Amino acid sequence: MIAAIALMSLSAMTLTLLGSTIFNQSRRTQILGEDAQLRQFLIAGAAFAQSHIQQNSTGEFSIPLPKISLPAAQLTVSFDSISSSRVTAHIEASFPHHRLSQQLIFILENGQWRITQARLGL
Amino acid sequence: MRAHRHRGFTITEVLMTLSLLVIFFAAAGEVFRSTVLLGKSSQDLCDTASQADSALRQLRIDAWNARAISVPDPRSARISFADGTAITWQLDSQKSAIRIDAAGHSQRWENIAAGWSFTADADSLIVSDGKSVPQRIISQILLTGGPKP
Repeated sequence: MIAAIALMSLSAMTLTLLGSTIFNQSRRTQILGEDAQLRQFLIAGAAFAQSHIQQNSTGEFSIPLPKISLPAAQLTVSFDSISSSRVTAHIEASFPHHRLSQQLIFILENGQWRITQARLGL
Repeated sequence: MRAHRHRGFTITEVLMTLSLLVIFFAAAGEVFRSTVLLGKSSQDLCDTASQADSALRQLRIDAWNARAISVPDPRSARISFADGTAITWQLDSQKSAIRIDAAGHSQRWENIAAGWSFTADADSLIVSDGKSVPQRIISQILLTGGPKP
């Protein structure tokens, strides 16, 4: 009787371990997928920032996103002017429980805004 | 007077019981061994995945701000920044990934880089392990045509 209970406990433990490994790996896969999607949004945000940047740019923009399978994604770009030739853009992409951001520093060179620094904040 | 008879087990019954016990303990031993192995491999898998994620996360942060990415050989990558500094990533023969920053400080991720190799693309660094889909690690600056080197 005791041996049977011990055997059943071992089997239960094995199944629990297996279940927890499968759950952890599927959660990791989901997070990595969301991360990749958010990085795509950040790149889109950088393109938006580069096309909308002006001297002394300030303010926040919410960028409409195409409907995708992941719910309630948001992308915002906010500008902060440091000088007439230097502007910082903060871009944030988020899902309800997951967000990524980046900070870009733009410098005006020969009449063109160029990104000189891109800090990914994970 | 009537003799009181104690009936014992026949040799067949004893042998059958012993055989069943042997089979039972063999099964129990195998289940126990599987549980221990599964527990260990599950923990190892979790640790390796976590280490690899951490290394790739740092590599992504470095590459995101890169002004230039060069791969002198498939086991090392050099990431240069607009301020003139650079970070080198190396893969050693002990399956470790090593990050050496501009000040010479190194950070090491053990046992994650088995079969890893680097290649450089126009705006990205590609990390391949020869088994799964290669990881493309993009430079935001190169992608948007940032400062010229």
